[in-house]
Amino acid sequence: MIHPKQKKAQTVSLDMLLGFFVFLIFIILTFKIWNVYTIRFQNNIDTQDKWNIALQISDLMVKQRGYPPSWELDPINTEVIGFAWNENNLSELKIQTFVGYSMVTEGYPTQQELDNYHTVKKLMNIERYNFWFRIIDFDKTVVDNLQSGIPYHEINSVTIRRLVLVDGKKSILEFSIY
Amino acid sequence: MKKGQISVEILFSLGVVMLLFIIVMTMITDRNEQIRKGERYTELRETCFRVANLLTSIWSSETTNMSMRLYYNVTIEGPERSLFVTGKEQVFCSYPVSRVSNQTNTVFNLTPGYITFYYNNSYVVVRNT
Repeated sequence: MIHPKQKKAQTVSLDMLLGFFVFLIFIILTFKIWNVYTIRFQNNIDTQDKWNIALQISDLMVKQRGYPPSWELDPINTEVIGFAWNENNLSELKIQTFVGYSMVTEGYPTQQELDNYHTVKKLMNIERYNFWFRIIDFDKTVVDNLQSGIPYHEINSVTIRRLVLVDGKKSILEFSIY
Repeated sequence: MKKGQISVEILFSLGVVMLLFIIVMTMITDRNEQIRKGERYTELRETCFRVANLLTSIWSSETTNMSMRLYYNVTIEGPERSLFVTGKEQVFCSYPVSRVSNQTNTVFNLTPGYITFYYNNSYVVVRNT
């Protein structure tokens, strides 16, 4: 037979155990949520980095001639990339030179293509990312085969589109990094 | 005897509660430190982006003359196109323009205070004012 005092003691420890488990679950949940937000914070930082870099590079492309100003005639010695005659008015020759150097055949790229692609990435100071560049018209058709880089298949990519004139023709410059 | 048994139980419960309290407090302190570190990092990163964006836009526009206030030490490595902002921690960011100098060097430091950016002879010049 259980003594009344013993019964009371059992109830107290059961209550405490229950409380302890609820508390434990609460702590574990808090940690899980914390970790989720930490990962989101990191992803957010990474995405912001990409936006910033993509904006800077697209700005250079559409606002500047590059350095040296006629770099398209001697691409090996290019220091800064730029396609513009003046703001948003781009030279097709400069774009063609850039595309020629950074074009990567989808599926089976040659070593030369990959080496050139990496050189162009280094020139833009985006070695840790991949990029995809193209000039499209308003129907999203690529203009004069002006596209280069590696097409993206990632949801974490960032794409900047700028309205430009390419040798007088209205087009869209699209630059993505991922 | 019976009274003694009750106080052992209470003591045990108190011990467990104290232990839990200490564990939770440690966790909260740790998380607080992480948040403070995150805030500091975000602030340094913002400065890094602001300087990098100004460098790029001065280069793109060629003529603009701009200034901003720095609250941290900044190191610019022109040829590497790298920027380091140093506070309690150090934050790094990059920019695509290789022609940056302080008029005399392409690797240089900027100290807290006002800094000026301008375009000169195919270079973006950045210096303390």
